[in-house]
Amino acid sequence: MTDRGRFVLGAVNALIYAFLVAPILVVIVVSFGDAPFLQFPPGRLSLRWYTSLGEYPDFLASFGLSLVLAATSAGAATVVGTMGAFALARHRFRGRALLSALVMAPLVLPGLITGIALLQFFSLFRTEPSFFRLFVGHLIVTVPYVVRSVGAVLVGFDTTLEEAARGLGAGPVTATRLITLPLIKPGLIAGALFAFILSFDNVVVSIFLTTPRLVPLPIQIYNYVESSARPIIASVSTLQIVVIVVLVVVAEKLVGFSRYVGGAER
Amino acid sequence: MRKPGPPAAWLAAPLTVLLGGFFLAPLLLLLSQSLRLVVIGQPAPGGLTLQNYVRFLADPFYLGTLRATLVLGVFVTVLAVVLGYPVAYGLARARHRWRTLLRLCVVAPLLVSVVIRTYGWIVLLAGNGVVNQTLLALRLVDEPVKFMFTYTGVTLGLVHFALPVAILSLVSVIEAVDPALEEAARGLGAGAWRTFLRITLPLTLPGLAAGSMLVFSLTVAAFVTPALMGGPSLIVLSTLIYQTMTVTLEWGFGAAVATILLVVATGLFLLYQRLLGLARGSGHFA
Repeated sequence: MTDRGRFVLGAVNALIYAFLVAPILVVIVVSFGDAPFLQFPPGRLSLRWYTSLGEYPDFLASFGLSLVLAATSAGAATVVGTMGAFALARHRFRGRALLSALVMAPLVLPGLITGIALLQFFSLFRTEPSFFRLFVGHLIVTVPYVVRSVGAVLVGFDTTLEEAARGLGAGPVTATRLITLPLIKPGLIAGALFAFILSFDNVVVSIFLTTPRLVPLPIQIYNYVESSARPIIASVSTLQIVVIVVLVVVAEKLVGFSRYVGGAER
Repeated sequence: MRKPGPPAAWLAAPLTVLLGGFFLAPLLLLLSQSLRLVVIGQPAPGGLTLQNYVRFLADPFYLGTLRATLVLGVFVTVLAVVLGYPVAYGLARARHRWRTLLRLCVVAPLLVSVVIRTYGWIVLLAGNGVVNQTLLALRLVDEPVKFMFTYTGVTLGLVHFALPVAILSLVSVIEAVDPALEEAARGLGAGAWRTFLRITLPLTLPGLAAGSMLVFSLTVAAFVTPALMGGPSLIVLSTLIYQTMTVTLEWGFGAAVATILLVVATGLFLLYQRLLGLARGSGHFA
């Protein structure tokens, strides 16, 4: 490429990169402002929107709920998804094709549809809205990622290693603990962390399954954004971004996260 | 030969129960509701009917939302692919130490919650926001541009989300093009444009087609951006579904609109996967 071509391409790309990161950076910057209303660029810097978080019990409750919800649904998705990945990768059984299609369907289907389908389904039983609804909704959207990331590791897995362990006298539990688990660990960690992130971020499924008392953080932010633009939203959002960035960095360091999950969102 | 580890039935059971009981069953219920005249709080008349679909297809307002959704989808897809191509090209050919950072910038919008991104856009695009201040200072406009609750604003918000998707699916197809081919074209006297149009673009076309189909299906199904940035004046299929399900409580009709969205978005997604079979290597996503 000519130097001029390289320069033009570089300039265009720089603008597009700015477009990609600007809305995120702006949120972080606003959160350190001092004005009682939305102001950009912020006049003086301060931590007032962080120190006054205590005056917004809604946000704190939602933050806690989202952490619990993400931890439990990612945990369950990891167990269920890993078992499923083993079944799909190692066995030929009746209904296998159907199950493998079904497990990818929540990725293909718009989250909105999953949400309203679950809303109608749960209301059929006339039970009170509960944590269980949110938990199941999040499990449905996160489990495919675990199946995929564990499945990706299992594809290149040499089962003779396990057989050798068994042949040397290890029981099934010991063989799993000493051979299988260490080998699938990268896929397992990537899947679990990505499930956590997706759950912690989820809006479209949660919005139909919340109750007045159980409002996950993204929905709480949604409700606030809908009615005002106060900087408190920026500080809460920044905290959420921090949680996710920390998780992504940890995942990248541990297992090279991006190799296992392309980065999809629905 | 016996496979090591526990039997299949055992391993597959929890996943099957979860997806069968809490995904497939609700979906089938949704489809069956779309064929009934369910309104919450009212006794449901029995029998199956196509009336919900007829109501949608016969009403210019509802057809207008369908059209708005599709137009927005096409527009956003074209923008995402046109803007995404140079970025993807740069990433695919980059060999420098900034590569990881640049990749991170690309995926950042996908990792940050859509509500937060939208809030960022609201801050940027407000009447006295940065974008308007800049436009006024540069004397490109005489008075603040109204972005919020307009097509322009919603399009910007949606492109922000669609662009990373487009870039990620393009990077892998461009990487698959041997740079030697481009060098050969240049060596034979083709200019940069000609090389791009005759070599790079045709070779990446299948992947580009597949990627844009994915972007389109994600865009037409998007909910948060149109809901928060479009406001009451810009109704697309997803916001119509939300209103019907939570405000007017006409669940039968809502289910029918959902089914229509499902066909538009997922039908294309499946086509995308079919195309993917033709264009191996663009499977960064799905």
